[in-house]
Amino acid sequence: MPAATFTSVIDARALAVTRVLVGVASAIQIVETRGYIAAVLVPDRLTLPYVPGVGLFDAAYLNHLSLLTASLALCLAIGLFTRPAALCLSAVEFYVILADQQTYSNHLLLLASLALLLGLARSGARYSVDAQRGKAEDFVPAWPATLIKTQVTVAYLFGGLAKLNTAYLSGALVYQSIRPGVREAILSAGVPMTVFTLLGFSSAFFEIWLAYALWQPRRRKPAVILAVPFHALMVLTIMPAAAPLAAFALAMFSAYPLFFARYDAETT
Amino acid sequence: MRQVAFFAILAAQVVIPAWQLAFAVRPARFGWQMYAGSRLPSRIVVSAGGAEREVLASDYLGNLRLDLDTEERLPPTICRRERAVRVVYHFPDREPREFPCPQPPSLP
Repeated sequence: MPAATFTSVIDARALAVTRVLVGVASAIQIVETRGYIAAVLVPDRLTLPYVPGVGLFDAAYLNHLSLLTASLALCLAIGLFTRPAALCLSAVEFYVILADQQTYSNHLLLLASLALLLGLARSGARYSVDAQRGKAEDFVPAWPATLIKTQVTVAYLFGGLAKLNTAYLSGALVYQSIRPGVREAILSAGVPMTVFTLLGFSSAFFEIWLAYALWQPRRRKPAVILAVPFHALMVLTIMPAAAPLAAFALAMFSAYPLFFARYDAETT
Repeated sequence: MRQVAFFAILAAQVVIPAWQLAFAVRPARFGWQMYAGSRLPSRIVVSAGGAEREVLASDYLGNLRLDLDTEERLPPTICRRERAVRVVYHFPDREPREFPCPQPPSLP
């Protein structure tokens, strides 16, 4: 890792876009999180805490948690008390992830990780209430932005690598994951079943390629141009619902401006 | 300090999913293994009162995630509630797995 990683600075506007998108995605993600928690807290349902006895709160507090998460997500999006809002949002999201095996979500894990990194960055330096209150900066330390980029890269890379198995590449898991209405429309249009195999292969290798291409200046633009419809297709066709997949897409998109942002070699 | 934080976070970002990919049953949590498989049984059959019948995992678990490891906690709960002698998990792509239920000691 070059020493410049720790001394270079990045255009604060790019990090501000990341912050806004993560805030909006965290607000959207509340829909899925509420559903998960409410379902787990139904009486007589089995809870699966990681540590016996350390689990979810009482059902009466579900609205409090949702309100707290929404407030923190809003503060992050508008850049009000940016750093504490980001760190508290991350803590709340990690709590939900770790409270029970059933409340885990890859989408929420990504958002919690990005919120943590935004809390370490000076992400409220532009396009924010904090900037309006005299904390504006044109450039901010780049190392947290680098970690946001690696986080999204890792999600694409391992998302693709994990799909390199017979069940996924055969198309069987793609077939099961597509919403029934969409599936029936595809099949009734006379499209052969091999389309699901093709989708399995192409999506797995596309995710791996994205992890590589985002770091290549010449391939970066084509990667983003292809990634947007890829995520849009997932939002429109994959189960269980559009909202959490939209939140996931926004979380992934949030890192894209950082790959295009202007870096400067430092300051102190 | 920032170097320590940077490398600690970077290591966590890479090592945890790499470990999950290499050593955990797929799909594993904390490994970005979205839609990469299913650990859930396709059917759960219990033997109780001399007969066999199917039970639904959704009657026991609120959120049936594909990455859930149910094999430790769910069979004992099914045994207790269904007064079963045996719980069998059936999978679409591997052999069934049987969980004998603990039986109360018989009277002398």
